[in-house]
Amino acid sequence: MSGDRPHARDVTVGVDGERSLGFGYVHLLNLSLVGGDWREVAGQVRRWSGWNWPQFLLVLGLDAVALFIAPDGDTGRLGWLYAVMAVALLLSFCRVAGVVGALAERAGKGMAYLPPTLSLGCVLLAFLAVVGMRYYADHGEVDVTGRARITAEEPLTDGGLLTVTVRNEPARDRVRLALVLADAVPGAQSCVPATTYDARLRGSGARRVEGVRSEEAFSLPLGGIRGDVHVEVVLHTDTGCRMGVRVADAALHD
Amino acid sequence: MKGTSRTRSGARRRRAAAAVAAALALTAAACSGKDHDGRFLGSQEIDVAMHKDLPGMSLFENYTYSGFDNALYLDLEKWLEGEEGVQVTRNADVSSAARIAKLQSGDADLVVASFSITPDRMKEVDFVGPYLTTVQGFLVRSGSGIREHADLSGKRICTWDGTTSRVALGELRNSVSVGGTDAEQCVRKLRQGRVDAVSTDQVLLYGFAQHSDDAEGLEVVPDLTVGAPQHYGIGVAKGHREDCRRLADWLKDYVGGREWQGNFREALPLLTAEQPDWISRHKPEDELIDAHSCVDRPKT
Repeated sequence: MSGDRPHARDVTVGVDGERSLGFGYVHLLNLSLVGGDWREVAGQVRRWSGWNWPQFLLVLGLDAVALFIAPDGDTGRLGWLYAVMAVALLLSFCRVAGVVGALAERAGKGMAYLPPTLSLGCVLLAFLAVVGMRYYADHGEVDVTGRARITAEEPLTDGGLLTVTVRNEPARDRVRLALVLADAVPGAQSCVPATTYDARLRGSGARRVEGVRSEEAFSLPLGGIRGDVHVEVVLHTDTGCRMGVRVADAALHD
Repeated sequence: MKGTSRTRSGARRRRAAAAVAAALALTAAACSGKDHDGRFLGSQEIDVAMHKDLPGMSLFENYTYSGFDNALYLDLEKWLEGEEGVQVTRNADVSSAARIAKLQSGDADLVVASFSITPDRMKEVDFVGPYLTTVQGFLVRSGSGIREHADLSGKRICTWDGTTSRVALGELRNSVSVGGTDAEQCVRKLRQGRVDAVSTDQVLLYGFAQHSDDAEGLEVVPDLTVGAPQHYGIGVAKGHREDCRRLADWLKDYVGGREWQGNFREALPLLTAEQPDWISRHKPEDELIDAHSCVDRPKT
């Protein structure tokens, strides 16, 4: 059939005169201009078999679900899951684009299992991404640094008290904190090296840490506390030192 | 023949042993030898800027230097000339306000001048230290009746420019801060009755108190302090971290050794008499020296 039709490059279209109409195989010319050699395009489209699409759409859907349920916070921790999603999507698209089929054809009957195996692998990878995201959403570390609030006595001196409040949402078993201690009067004192603090959960004397230094992280078990978590801090510094405190890192984790 | 052969063999063994011993000695010498080229802080001649008007710390009087900073300088000079192979000169006219500028302009290579280490100053110059810790106190005329913070209400208190003392005085809300150009001027105002107290680091105040005649009747108020502890360090221009760390190692040996206590006792006899626990109050720990030496901000 196609042999009867002239190739795009063979078509000569002459349209003379203002507003004259032209008929013929101009659509093929357009196709060639936009998509390159139309025969190549047509050949590729022929390889986009209908059976290649479901696996691609399934992987695409699973990746979308994984993205939707991905937790906020430390994206570095989730990096491997994003990589898995990308690989699954890329390989499944390779099948849609006919690359996998072409490879299998070229390799002969021995490789006939390649397209379905690859598709299965892609689906499993995308499923793994969904499960991984679900796990991190349920148990992964949640960065709450920006949501931690400090209420403190002014000025903050030796024996001074401050409270760090963090909301335990989504619920986790432990809270990790790191506080930065700074000289409130940096032009007249250098007290940070001699300053430490004790920290404990409000209402729980057992859950406490002592002698924590500036920027040192500590973790306290929450013991089922939901909602606001109050960590009470007592400062120890030299007499006369006036200190400032801010949260360097706050995270909920299991 | 046999005997000759044995003799030659013995001689060869002795020569080999001697050669090995010589090689070992050379290796040991190379390993233990100090790798210095007669330069410290990039210079063959080190200028040390100091005060000359602080009795007990750094005083030049009757063509003689005295004080704790002076004693530190003499030990430092010995180390720099003996171990580092550089020449050391003293430049004893630096004012408190000019200490950083002296280092930054290159007019001085080191500053040993009751120089308090603070995070703000650490951004501008490096410190090696502390070599002494003190707190801010009050020097008053005997019989002034000033014994606690409440007694300072409405009183005129003198401090001088370029020190950390004025900042701490801000905590005393009802007192009046009176400025002076230097320590000597503040003490003169106190003697003349133009101010009620002089406030600065206790080691300096004890120096003035022990230097004054009994008739003048100046005394440091015991246990009346304000502000945070002050840590005195040796100021070093930035950009010489390796030499800075060598100096810090030397300082740790100095502070941990007998010289520190001997020099302190000799320089500040009134303080050591009034404060039986003067060592624990004024001698810094190695950790504190590590936290402040040759860094841009205090380490924790």
